[in-house]
Order: sequence, then C-alpha cells, then structure tokens
Amino acid sequence: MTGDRRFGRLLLSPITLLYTLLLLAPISFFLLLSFYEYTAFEMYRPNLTTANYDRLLFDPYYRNIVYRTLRIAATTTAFSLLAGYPLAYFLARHAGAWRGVLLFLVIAPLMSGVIVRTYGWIVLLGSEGMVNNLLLFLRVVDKPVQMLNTEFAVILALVHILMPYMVFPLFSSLAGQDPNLVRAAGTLGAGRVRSFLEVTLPLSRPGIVMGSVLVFTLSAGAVVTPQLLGGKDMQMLGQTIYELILTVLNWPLASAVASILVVCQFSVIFLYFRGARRGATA
Amino acid sequence: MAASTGFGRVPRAARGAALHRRIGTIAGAMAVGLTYIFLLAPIIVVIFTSFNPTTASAFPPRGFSLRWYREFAASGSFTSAFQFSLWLGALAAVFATTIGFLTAYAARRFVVRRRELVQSLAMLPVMIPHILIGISLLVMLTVVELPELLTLLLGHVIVCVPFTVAGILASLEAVDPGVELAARTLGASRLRVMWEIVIPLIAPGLLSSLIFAFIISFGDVYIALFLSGPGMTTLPIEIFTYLQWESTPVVAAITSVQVLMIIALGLVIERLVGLRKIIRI
Amino acid sequence: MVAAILKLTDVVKRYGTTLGVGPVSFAVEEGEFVTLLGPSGCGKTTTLHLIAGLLQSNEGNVEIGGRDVTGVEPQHRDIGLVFQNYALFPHKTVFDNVGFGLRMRKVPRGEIEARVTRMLDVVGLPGVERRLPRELSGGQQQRVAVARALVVEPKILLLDEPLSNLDAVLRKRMRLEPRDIQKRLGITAINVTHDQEEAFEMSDRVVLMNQGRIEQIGTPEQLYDAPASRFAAEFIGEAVFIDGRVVALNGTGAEVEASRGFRFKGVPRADGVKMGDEVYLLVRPERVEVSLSPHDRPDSVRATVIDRVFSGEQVSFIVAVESGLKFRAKKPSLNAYRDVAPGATVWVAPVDCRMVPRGP
Ligand SMILES: Nc1ncnc2c1ncn2[C@@H]1O[C@H](COP(=O)(O)OP(=O)(O)OP(=O)(O)O)[C@@H](O)[C@H]1O
Ligand SMILES: [Mg+2]
Repeated sequence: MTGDRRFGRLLLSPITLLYTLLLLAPISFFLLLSFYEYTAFEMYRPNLTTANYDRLLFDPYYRNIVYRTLRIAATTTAFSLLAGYPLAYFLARHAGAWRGVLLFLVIAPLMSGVIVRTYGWIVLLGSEGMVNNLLLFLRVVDKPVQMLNTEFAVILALVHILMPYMVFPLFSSLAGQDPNLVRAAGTLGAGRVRSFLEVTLPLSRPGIVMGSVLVFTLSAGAVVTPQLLGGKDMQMLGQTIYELILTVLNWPLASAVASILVVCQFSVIFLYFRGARRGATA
Repeated sequence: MAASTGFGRVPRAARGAALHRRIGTIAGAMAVGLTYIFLLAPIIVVIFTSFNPTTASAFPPRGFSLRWYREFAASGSFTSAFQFSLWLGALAAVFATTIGFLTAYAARRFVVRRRELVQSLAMLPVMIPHILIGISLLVMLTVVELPELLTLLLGHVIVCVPFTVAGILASLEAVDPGVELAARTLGASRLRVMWEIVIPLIAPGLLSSLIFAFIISFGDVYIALFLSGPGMTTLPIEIFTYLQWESTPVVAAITSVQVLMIIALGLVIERLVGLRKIIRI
Repeated sequence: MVAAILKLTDVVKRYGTTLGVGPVSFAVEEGEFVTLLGPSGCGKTTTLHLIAGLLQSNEGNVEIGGRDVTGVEPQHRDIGLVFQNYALFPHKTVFDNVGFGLRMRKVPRGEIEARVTRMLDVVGLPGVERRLPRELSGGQQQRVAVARALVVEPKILLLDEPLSNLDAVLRKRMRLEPRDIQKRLGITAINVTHDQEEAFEMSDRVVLMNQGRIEQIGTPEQLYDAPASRFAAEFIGEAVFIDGRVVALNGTGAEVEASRGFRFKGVPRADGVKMGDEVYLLVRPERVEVSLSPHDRPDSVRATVIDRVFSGEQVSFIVAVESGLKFRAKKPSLNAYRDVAPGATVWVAPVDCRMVPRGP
C-alpha cells in the first residue's frame, strides 16, 4: 500500500531528524574543522589549509600515538576474540539451564558502565591490589610489580570492558546455527575439531566480523580507560583529542586527529567486511 | 559412543577418542571459568573495597566498615551527580524507547526494500566512536544556539537508540503480522493498530528497552565528558574527574550502589523478556 | 442476472520482479460462495489480500458493490477476512476480539454487547466471551475468527484456508460450517483452499488458479467434467490422459481415435474442437468398468491386472491393455472385485470419457 510507505516514513522521521541533525551534521562539521586554520583567539578560522595534517603526519609525537592506538586496538580485538569465542560457544551450545544466569553475568559488566570497571582494575592492579598481593604471597615476586600506567593494564581493562561487545554477536551467530549441522557433519565422518573448523567456524563469521569491528572501534576511541590506567605517557588518540578539545583548545588539530581515527577505523571495518564477503562466497 | 560398553570391550581407538573428548571438555570448561573470573573480578573487588575501613584501596579488605557509604551520602557533589544521572537516564530512556519503537516498527512492517539498510543505519551510533559524537555536539554548540542540557540529553538518546531499536525489533518478531492486518480489515487505522494491538503486545519489550536505555545512559562517559557543565555533571564524570587526582574507596561505595541498582534492573529485564533479546546487536 | 458484488478486472500484483498474481479477472454475485482453488504459491492469498485492500495492485481495479475501491484503505472496504492462522488478538478476550470491529465503527456499547453475543450464538460458541484466544481449541478459535469477521456485517466475507489449521477429522466435520453460516446470513463469501474436495463440497463456484493466473471458473461439475486444460483435469480428481485425434464429429458427440489403438465413441464435444484435431482423452479411474467376462460390455478390451491397491472403501487396479497403455481403475470394494489379483485377465471399458483440448 502506498499509505504504508507514507506511514513508514512518518515513523522514521524522528530518528532521521535526530541522526542527521545531531549526529551526521555535527560530525561532518567537526571533521571539516581539520581543514581550517587554527587561531588562538577564535579557535578556528574558515581558511582552508592542510597545516593540521602536515603537523600530525610529520610530528613523531603524534605518529607514535597513532601507532600505539592501532596496536592497542588490534591487540584488544585479538584477545577479546580469543577469550570471547569459547565463552560464546559455551553459552550457545552447552550452557543449558544456566544460560540465562551466565548471559546475565556477561551483560552485568557492560551495564555497569566504563567507569565502574576501570575503577575495578585500578583497585586490582594497584601496588597494594589483589594481583600484587597474590604474587607476593606466592613469592613470584618480592616487591610489588608496577602494573598501573602500563600498556598491559590498558589492554587488560579494554578487553574486559569490551568483551560483551564481542560475545553478543558471536553468541547470536552461534546460537542461530542449526545444531543438526554439526551432527550431520559427524555422521559424515568429521571429528569434533574437523566439524568445528569446517561448519561452525565459517558459519559464525558474521559474528566474528561484527564483534571485531565493534571492539576495534570502541577500543580505538577509548579515553577514560587509558587515561586512568595508562597515564600520560601511554596516550591514545582518544585522549589526544580530549586534551586538544578541552585543555589545549586547538580544535582544528583535534579534528585532524579525529579524522585520522575515523579513517583508520573505516579502513579496518572495510577490510573486515570485504574479508567477510569473500569468505561467504568462497 | 561410550554407551556401547555393554557390548563387550571397547576398541582402543574409541577409548582414545573418548579420553580426548573428555580432555577437550575439561579444557573448554576451564577456559570459560577463567573468562568468567576475569569478567567478574573487577566488580567483586570493587564491592569488597567499598567496605574497607582504611583509605588505601587495598584488597583483600582488612575489616568491615560503612565509612565510605557514609562519606558518599555526605558528599554533596556525588549525591547531586547521582541524582542528575538518574533524571537524565530516565528522560533519555523515554525518548530513546519512543524513537526506537517507531523506528523498529517502521523497519519491521513498512519498509520492504531497504529494510536491511534502515536497520544498519539505526545502528550507526554503535559504530562511531562515542567520543566523536560527544565532541561533535560540543562543537555544534558553538555554532547553533541550543540549550546545553538538551544537547546532553539528545546525545544520550542517540547512544541509546541503537539498543532500543535492536531490542524492540526482537520483540516485534514475535508479533504475528496477520493480527495487525486483521485489525485493519476490521476498520482500524494504522495508528490505531499501533496503539491498540502492537504496543500492548510488546509492552514487556518496551519496558525492558526503557530500563536498558536508562542503564546505558547512566553509564555513559563519552557524551557527558564534553557536555557536562556546572550543575549538570553526571555521576561517571564526577567519578572520572575525582579519580584523576585521588582514588579513595568512596568511589567503590558509589559504584557498588550503582552496580546493585543495575543488577536489580537487569533482573527485571530478564524477567520481562529475557536478556537475550536485548543484547542482539 | 444478479448484480456482481465483487469484480476484479485485469488485476496484477508483483512482488518486486516476481509475479504474485495476474492478470486476474472474475466477478462474484451476491449471495454466492466462491472458492479460489489452486496449488501452494499460486496466488490465492495474494488475491484475497488484494480484495481486502491489504495489498495494492500494480494494475487493474477492484470493485465492491459497484464502487471502485482500488486504492481504498482496508478499513474502509467493508469486508471481513478470516486469516489462515485466525490472527486473533492474543491479548484481548473473545468478547473484545469479536467486538473490535464494532468499536472501530463507533457502535454504542450496549449494541456491541448484544451483537457479539448474538454472533457467538450463530457460530455455535455461546458463553466463551471472557476467555482469551489461547484458552480455546483450534476449532473454537476458528469460529471466533469467523464471528469477528461477520459481526460487522461486511459486504463480503473472505476466508483464507479457514480449515487448514484443524486436524484431519475436525477438518472434515467443519467443512460445511462456513457455508452453512454464510447461507443462513445470506452474505457473499470467497474462500481459499488447496483441497479440491473441500472446494467442491463448500462452493457454488470454483476459481481454479495456477501460477498467478486463472485456469478455469465454473461450478464443481463443470470443472470436473469439462476441464479447460490438462492442468485443470489433473489438479481436480485423478486423471489418465490418452493422446487422441478426432476422427468423426456429430451434433454433440465425437469419435476419437487414441494413439494406442483405442476408439472412443460418443465423447462430448469440447468447445472449438474441429475434425482432425489432436486432443487428450480424459479417463477418470472411477469411470472405468472392470469385468471378468468379455461379454458384459461390447466395447470392453482385454487387459492384465498389474497391481491392486485396497483402501477400505475402494479397491483400485492398475491395468495394462494389450497395446501397452496403463491406467488405473477404481471400484467400490464389493466382493466381485476383491478377488481380482495381480496377473488376472480382465475386460475394461472407460466410460464417460471427456476430451480436453491440447494447449498450443
Ligand atoms: N511478501 C512477498 N514477497 C515476495 N513474494 C511473495 C510475497 N508474498 C507472496 N509472494 C509470492 O507470490 C506468489 C503467490 O503467493 P500467495 O501467498 O498468494 O500464494 P498462495 O496461493 O496463498 O499459497 P499457499 O497455498 O501456500 O498459501 C508466490 O510465488 C509467493 O512466493
Ligand atoms: Mg496462502
């Protein structure tokens, strides 16, 4: 019905307005600032220039931050996948009556917000925290290990914080699979490992892609966790943007940094989805 | 199968396979167990720390005290931030659920050809780093005159909408479209069908969307980081600012309260629709 | 001629690039019970939804009661639709379900109560007003769905496979019920089914559909005895086709020579058939005489029984005549036929054969 289409458009107008006016337009404008000139008094002046990018690309300080961000995001993604896959698999296939509770335990951290969890890691990893106490007690070390303000702490906490984003898409794609497929592979002579590799894993590819993209995106843009657990020397792109916006007040440069973040992310997303498509047609 | 033991001796190869399988299962269970410890440890530690009598956020605690809870209750900045977050979360949840419902319902029933596209676009805010959303709104305020409180609220609505859309889409899947068509043939307009048939049928889903959006808004940092101001500081930002300079267990007490609230709300959702439906991203 | 209450003219519905139905044209007279019959996916539901206004046609137009309703929203079409799965509102009581349409029409509360109660009586389901749909059996749900559609006194009642959700026994028993109610209330009904027996027993006329098009429209007798195409003959009842050629024609009958050396005399002439035309001869299994003696009928031929299938009421034989042609003969399970075993020699004679024009 043509009336259907009109009604559908009517229903979609709030989200359309919200997203265009308060999401796409502001982001486009902000990213546009990266081509504007920086002045100390007016923040930016609409003279087109590439000075901001020149500064970013040739200053080793910023280059390092880009590398570090990509490294941390990639490592976080890899570990989330490694830890999240067995968990999602277990939840989808073996959890049985406990599934509800166990799923809740995965969601609970997500719901408790970034700050709560980051604070938890501060307490755990501090020089008087549980991890150090345990290591001292077991005599693995004889004085507290410096764990806060390291890249390790940042990655650990990011994996923890972002794990649910990996587990849910994986869980969906695994739980959606017909369990008879594996049984069928079994009757055709494939062992457990073999049927996992040939049936389950390829079919869960959409979940892997979705989860990885989410975790990569969210970790590359992290601010609070690296700020509190990595310290000033462990800066990531998100923190740089945050500082440039709120303390340095160089918005054009912040915009250029953000653009680089966006470009990195979209290339990763693009590569991932292309890989996924190739995998699907292979 | 191991069950065939009744028929005499099990061939050696089969016994080996059974052993392998057992080892595999145990290894899998251990991996899952460790992952759960990893996931839950930081939160449990926080709760323990909140009852610590001393300043040092040490673990395990040495004694039991409610000192930090009293301190939380006495500190004006934390309690007012807590209240502000509650209000903000409630409002954001109402808006996000409303928009989420309209979007999900449209995508489910009235968009035929580009349904996938609409659904993916609705998920956009999850794919964009939230810091970028927060900053862009801040920058926008320098150009467009908009009340800051409204901008903060709408920012929260934006980050909540993908979750409400996903959750409500899942609820709508359980509604037979025939029921809606039946109402149409009996003389109801589309609006009437939405109000009298669809909304009552997915009421539990809407309620849990409301709760989930509230939780997301309550935990947000990246929007509030840039849009908070005097008199409108959310709890996570208050804590974040505080943690940059000192870290006393008063933070543990606050976050414990928050965790408790969230677990309670989460259980309500589980009761209503099952969390599984909400988390489909 | 009674006025057509419903008229479809060259209606076409496409789903994207795939054809749903079309072009479809037919008219239904007031008080008729018409059934759309056809295999799964042939476009029955689509046609019904086009009539109800739940789908909008790409071409053609629909008239209800002489008014062109193409483009009119379903709530303004004055039809009642019973869905394949009933589509009762799960959160409303039976009373609220049945009364929904009246409420939408702003009928006063008291009148709603009276009409709902009366309608539940009509469908034979008094006293269930306060129950929820899930507390009813499948058969009861079906009646509620019919009551809900009828209580608003629609011009046309549309029924989308109203019996398909019932178990086989109930299905047979309820078969005549919709028609019974329809005749009692004197309204027009359009029913959908893919079950030929059901269609025949319920309907005044049948619209036979295939792949989105209408194959034939007619009374059950017309469809059975004068199928317009091979599809029609095969879909309705059991059929054996024998290739043949018209070798003689007179007023109403024809003589057809079958390729297998058979000659059939007195075959009713199909429309437009000329001397020398290639046609199909349609043999219905229950219209094959089988006897143990060659003398019972002068036109019978010798055949060998290849197989015998006993199904209680009936016994059927697969027989092969000398030229090699095989077909099925279905007989009541009388003693005379029970002893005929595979290998036996019998004499068979197809009677009341029909000719079916060959498509181009
Ligand atoms: N929403 C749709 N999108 C695309 N194609 C459709 C849609 N609905 C129906 N079709 C196609 O249109 C054709 C007719 O479908 P319709 O549902 O009318 O068949 P039907 O005769 O009612 O079948 P059944 O007996 O199985 O109910 C089918 O080929 C079907 O695949
Ligand atoms: Mg159908």
